[in-house]
Amino acid sequence: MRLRLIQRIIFAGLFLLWVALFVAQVVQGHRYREQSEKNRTRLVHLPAARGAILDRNGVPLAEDRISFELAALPQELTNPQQTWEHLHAILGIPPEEFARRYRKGFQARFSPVSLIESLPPETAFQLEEERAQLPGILVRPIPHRTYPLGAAVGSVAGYLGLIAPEELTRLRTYGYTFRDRVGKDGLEQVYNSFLRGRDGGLHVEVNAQGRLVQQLGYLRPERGRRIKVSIDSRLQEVCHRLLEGGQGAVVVMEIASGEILCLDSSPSVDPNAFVDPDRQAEVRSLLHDPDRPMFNRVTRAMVPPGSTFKAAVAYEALRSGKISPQTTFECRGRYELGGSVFKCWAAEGHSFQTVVDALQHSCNVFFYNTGRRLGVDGIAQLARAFRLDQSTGIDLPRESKGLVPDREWMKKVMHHDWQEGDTLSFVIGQSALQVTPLQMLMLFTAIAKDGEVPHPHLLLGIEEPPQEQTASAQGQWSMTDPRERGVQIPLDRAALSVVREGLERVVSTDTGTGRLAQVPGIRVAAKTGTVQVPVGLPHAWICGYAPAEAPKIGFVVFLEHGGKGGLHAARVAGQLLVYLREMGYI
Amino acid sequence: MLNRRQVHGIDRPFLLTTLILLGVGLVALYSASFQKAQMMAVSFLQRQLFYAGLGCGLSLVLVAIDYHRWLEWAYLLYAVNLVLLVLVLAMGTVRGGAQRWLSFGGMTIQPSEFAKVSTILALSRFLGARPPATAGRWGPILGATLIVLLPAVLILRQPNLGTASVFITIGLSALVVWGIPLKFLGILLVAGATLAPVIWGRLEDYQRSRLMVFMNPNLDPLGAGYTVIQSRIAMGSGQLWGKGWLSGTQNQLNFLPERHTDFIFSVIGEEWGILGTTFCLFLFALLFYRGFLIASQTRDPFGRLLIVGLVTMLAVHTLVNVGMVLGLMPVVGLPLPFMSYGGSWLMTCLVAVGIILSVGIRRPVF
Repeated sequence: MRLRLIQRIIFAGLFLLWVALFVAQVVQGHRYREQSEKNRTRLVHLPAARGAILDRNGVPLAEDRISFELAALPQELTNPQQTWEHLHAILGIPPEEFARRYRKGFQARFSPVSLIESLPPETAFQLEEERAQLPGILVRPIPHRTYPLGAAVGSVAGYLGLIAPEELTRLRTYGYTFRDRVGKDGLEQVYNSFLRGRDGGLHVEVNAQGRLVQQLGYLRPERGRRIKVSIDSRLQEVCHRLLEGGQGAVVVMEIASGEILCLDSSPSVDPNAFVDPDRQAEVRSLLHDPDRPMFNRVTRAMVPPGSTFKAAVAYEALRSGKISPQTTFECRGRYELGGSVFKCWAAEGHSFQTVVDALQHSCNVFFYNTGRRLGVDGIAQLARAFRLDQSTGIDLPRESKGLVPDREWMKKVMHHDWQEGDTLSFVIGQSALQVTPLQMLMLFTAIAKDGEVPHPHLLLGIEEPPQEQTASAQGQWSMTDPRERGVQIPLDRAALSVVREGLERVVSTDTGTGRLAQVPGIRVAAKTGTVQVPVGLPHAWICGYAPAEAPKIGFVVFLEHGGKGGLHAARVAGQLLVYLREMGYI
Repeated sequence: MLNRRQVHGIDRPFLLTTLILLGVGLVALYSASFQKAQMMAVSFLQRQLFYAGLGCGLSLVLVAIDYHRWLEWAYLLYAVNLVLLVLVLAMGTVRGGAQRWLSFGGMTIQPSEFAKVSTILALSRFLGARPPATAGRWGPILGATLIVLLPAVLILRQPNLGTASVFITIGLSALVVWGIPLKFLGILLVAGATLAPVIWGRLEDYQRSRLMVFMNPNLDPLGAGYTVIQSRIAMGSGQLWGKGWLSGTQNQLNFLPERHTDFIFSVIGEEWGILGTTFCLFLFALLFYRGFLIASQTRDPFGRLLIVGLVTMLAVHTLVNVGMVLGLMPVVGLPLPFMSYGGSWLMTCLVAVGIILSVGIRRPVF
């Protein structure tokens, strides 16, 4: 009967629906249950503040400040175009730019998209007041890395950057995520694992509009640990100012402890640029800048030491008895060897010079003679004894090791035998010998302190984890004791005292090459150096320590293309020493 | 009025099933709407109860009066309803892109819902008076087709694709039971299939996108596909036992749009699990079964055609609605009988029940 047909069709339909219900609710039910859970709960990321980097007096070199982030919540953004126009009226940024940032940052409907990372507080408050006209726009406080000294602290602090994909695969197990910023250079990189906080989160139940219904769980973000470093921010600013406009490096260390008081490489970068999305173009240009502002010249530049190396040569010649303090050589401004002529920097010559005179005047001819007595093996050996082939182990990333040439190196790398003429340029620090400013600082420290070389370092202490501190005992620090890591180079005291006398006369006498480093009331010992370069003015060096009678600080000033004879470098050192005296370091 | 025999002859399982469905619907409606009700200071439950009462009263009147009286009035009712449908197009209230409502001093009605019943009445009268054996064949078939297509086209223009297709199904079902030769049925179906592309071309964009998204909800997970995806999640996550009354997260946290109207079944699915949904499907099956039983027992061709039309209407709504909630059918906006919120539709369902019962108590007793 026809009625049955209709009935059967309807019942078949009902049965098929029931089967579909069974599949959806029983067979696949657990999957839908999971989805409904995901639907209703959200993890809200709560970024932790990064630990501050404090200088030796507690002045912040880097710290997280609260900044106001402007974000858009997609699911409440009813009319984006209108909202961008409104924001344009308040902030002056073109609507298309907002639209671009929004498109770029969009992840999910419930996930806020950051539009501006740091708003001035007044603007933040203004936006908060106009919230009713700006649906889907929120202003939320987030920690924002700030470097109060700006570029002056760039060489020391380093900078932050988004974690690189390959780093992320390595660090994922430590809880890093793709949006984490990590230290990419300087202290930020070396002490990243301490400075970094542990991000927290809020587990919330939300409704379909993404509005919070109730809180299910909360993980408090934990601020990263603060570190204290040996830098004196006042001094750091001074040396940054002294280097401004040129290329070079300055480093000052407390000799007894190895604490670095200031360290600057010029030009340097303003680390604030790396955490400001508005300055990305600037960051990109820094990477391609021919002056290499990202390159820390104090620890990484490999340059010939020039005449500053003569201090080490003089010591070795005296120690080994190749010369005595009374030995004299006559300088007529030139030295002939196998038909070639090697000049002294003073064309008229220095006439008869003892080792002390030769250091004072930086006489090349004296050292040509001395170098020939020492031979290439002797000079290479002395360079290694003063650790010019080893990195110093300072707590900054990617330190260079230096290069000490010898016969073997000449053969392997330059493919010819060592010539006697090579020895002559080696002995005045002009050859393939390459050192970093920091290595020279350690060499002069060894001379100043009878071979007692501390471990150069920046870190003074690390704050105990904040969560383990009681309220009454805030700011407990675990201090490092770097003295354990210092080394003792066995040096001959008698030979050293002769060299030290020469170094003191470099500055104290009116014919000394470093006389511009004179500071009234302080005895300064130093050696200048000039490095001839193929193009442009020669590099200028001065390395030394003060006070000469009881050395407290060692210093190095290195100026790329700084001019002949180390005059300008000596002037910079002199100004620096004035400040050091004012601040009580000498 | 009714005599004792007739009162005893009322189909109790049919009546009881209707009341249980109504009760389950109200319980689910409370869960689906109490939050929105608080927010809007309007009790959906109270309104639905009011219409349920009104519908039951109307239904009683229908049971009491011989349905042949209504058949006499059928063409007039049909004509009035057509006028109302034209009025809807001319001056109806627009909600959600569609013009479906007529306002009468504070009350809004949906003539397309009542048109289902009046069309069934007119169709039954027309076909019942022309037995297939005696009358010429093309005449009644074309007449019936016209009766169905007139309101269907008007409703399609609202636009309301779902309701329009209900009319087509009712017409086909009535013709089959009337005794249309299979050859003619085939011709009608082929003609319909030829017209389908034309209709597709005349559909509104939102209707097309709904049909497309029905094929693949992930085409547009935040737009047209959102409802289907969320509804499937709600249904599936109910699992065996459900999350409990008032505890469905999809429902209570507002992930289900339209949940007190077209998607009430996914609230049942989420909060009562497969137990609840199976129970509901069982009740519907029982309802239809009793309906067909009454139809097969009556000797009156008018009565039989009436019941077939009305049961088909209820069944199409049930199948399409549950299928839609499960993501097996396009989201065409057909409410679930007795459960979905909405006065016009609830009253239409109860009127249908009244007419079916009215036929039932007047069938010959064996």
